[in-house]
Formats: sequence, C-alpha cells, structure tokens
Amino acid sequence: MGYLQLSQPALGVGENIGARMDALEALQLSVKGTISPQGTHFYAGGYVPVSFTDGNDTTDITNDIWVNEVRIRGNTLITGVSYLIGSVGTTDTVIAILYDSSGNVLAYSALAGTTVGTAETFQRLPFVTAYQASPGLYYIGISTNGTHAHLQTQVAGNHNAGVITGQTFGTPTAITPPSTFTANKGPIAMLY
Amino acid sequence: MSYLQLSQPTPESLLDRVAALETLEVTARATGIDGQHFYAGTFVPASLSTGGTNTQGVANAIWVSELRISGNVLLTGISVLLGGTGGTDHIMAILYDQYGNVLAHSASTTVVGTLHTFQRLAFTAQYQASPGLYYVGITTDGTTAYIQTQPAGDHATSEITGQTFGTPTAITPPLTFTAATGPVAMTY
Repeated sequence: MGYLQLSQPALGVGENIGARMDALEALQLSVKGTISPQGTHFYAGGYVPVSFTDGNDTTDITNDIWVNEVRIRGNTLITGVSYLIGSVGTTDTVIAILYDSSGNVLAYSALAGTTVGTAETFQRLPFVTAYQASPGLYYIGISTNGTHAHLQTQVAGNHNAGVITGQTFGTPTAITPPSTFTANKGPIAMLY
Repeated sequence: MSYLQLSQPTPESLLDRVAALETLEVTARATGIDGQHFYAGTFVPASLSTGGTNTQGVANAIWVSELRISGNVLLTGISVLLGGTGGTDHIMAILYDQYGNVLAHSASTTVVGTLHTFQRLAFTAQYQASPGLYYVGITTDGTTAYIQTQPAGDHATSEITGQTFGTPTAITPPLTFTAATGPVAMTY
C-alpha cells in the first residue's frame, strides 16, 4: 500500500508542479485558449467538394434539417457555417445549426432565416453568437423554410449523415443525431 | 497535510507521473503520432489525372493553400500532384507558418516530374512542426509544366504573384478560397 503526499514540499525540492503541468498541457493537442492553432475550417464528414456542383443537387424540404457530422480537432472559436448551395438559390431562407454529439443545440444563425444565396456557391451563415468549441464530434444542420432552393449533399460515405423531419423552421431544438450514412442527406458544409 | 491512499503496492510520485507524460510527449514530437500525411485544404484527389484543375505554371507566382497539422510531426517535405504536362521547368515547395513566414523549402534545382503523378519535394532540412495552421506553397520557374489545383471549397487558397523563384520570402496568407489556385498537395 502506498501513499502520495499531496502537499507541495513532498513532490520535489523547489519544484513547481503546477508550472510543469501547465507546460505539459501546452504541448498537448488541445491547447488552452479560444482560437484553434489549427484554424477554423473543418469540413462536415471531412469531405471537400471537387467542384461547386459536386454532390447531389437536393431540393429543400420545409421543416426538415439536413444533418452531417463534423469533427473539430482543437479548441476553436467558431463564427458560423458555410454550406454549398445547389442549382437553385434565392427565395427561401436558411438557418445553420450546430449540435453537440448528443444532438443538443449549441449555436445557430439568425432564426428569422437568411435568404439563400447564389446557386452553386458557398454561403456563409454566421452564428448569432460565436461558439467556443472544444475538440470533439459535432453535427451541422441546414434548414430552409421552403422547397424552392437546393443544397448540395454528400452522395457517399459511411459516417453519420441524415435528415431530421418534423422540425419547425426558426425554432431549433435537440435532435437525435444520425448514426448511419444516408446518401443525399448530409450537407456539404464547413465551419469557419 | 493530507494523504491519498493509492492502490499501487509501492509509493507513487506525482513528479514521476509528470515526467513520464513529458517523455511520452517528447517521443510524440519526434515521431508524429498522427503520421506525416496532411493534405492541403484536407482535399484528397479522387484521381491522379482529373482530381483537380489542370493549372499552368506561372513563373514567379506561388500557388498557396492552407494546411492543418493536427499533431507534433517531423516533416520531410511536400508531395504535389502534377498536372497534364511535366518536365522542363523547375519546381519548389515551401512551408509557411500561419502568418506567412517561411519555415522550410525544397531545393530550387528539382525538375518537374512525370505528369499526373505525385512528386515528392524534400525540404533542404526537415522541419519539426507542432499542431497548427500552416500554408503550403508550390512554385515553378516557367510556364511549361502544370500542377493540379483545388477546384472548390471555402477554405483559404490563392495565387501569390511577384515572387522570385528560388528565393522564398514571407507572404500574406490568403483569407478566402480562389478556385484553381490551391495546389493538391500533402506533407510527408
């Protein structure tokens, strides 16, 4: 049976254990601070499109949310979500939502919605409040209030992507995240 | 004075545990627990010939893309995907930090390799990288050879002009995505 003396003198002669732990933590991947040393650009499903028409041109569905997993590798202050619009833009309004690994809402863009941008471009949707993320698994959701606009979705993979139905546009609530990959559901998107 | 009863049969020193963690971390710094292969812009080509945009080299221009490194890693160089024409020109790879300062570069005497292949360009001195945001630059000294560039995205890529081939200097890193400017490239 051993004992560890917790008071400072027994740990080392003149040794500041706190300083050593701070230095060690600074070496780790998940460094302290608000801004990721790795930048803020994390693509949903790790997928970078090969063209601005890449993916499946998917017609929006009112009150559905297109969901895709995203992995954040470092402490990161996330400003918003950038997603790839499909072959039809404008008319509808769109909201981006960030969920934690359990599907709880963490952040969202303007709840009144932002008019969908130009076809076949990335549209950046800033969160109402920037979100300080830790490393981990998250989910991105894209929702529109109509069926006019299209978005580009991922056609293949084996990560978690799906569509959540029965939602109310402008009122993001917790979801049950997808646990499998469903083709043509996960938005092509990136955090920024 | 307080004491914590431990389950180990011998006394345990918290300092020893810290030292063990430090040793582990130093080992990781040297070897790279995540490996050395990080793609610029996280873009992995689907094909050697059509996986990007076939982009003609421009003398004294540098094709730049952001690069995210997620672990401590000793980098040997950069591998770049060549386009539809190889040979003739010389090619250099440059690694920049997040502010655009030059960290490492390959030799200026390397001739562009075979079209539609990845060409590995070794740094003149290996670079010990920490996790973070970096930029990759590819430059040639002529307009014969082509490289493959990233066609789409919303990360940071650009073409930086007005450079002198063989004399890498600090750049202002891109903040937005410009199609057909970010090289399809990977660290190794």
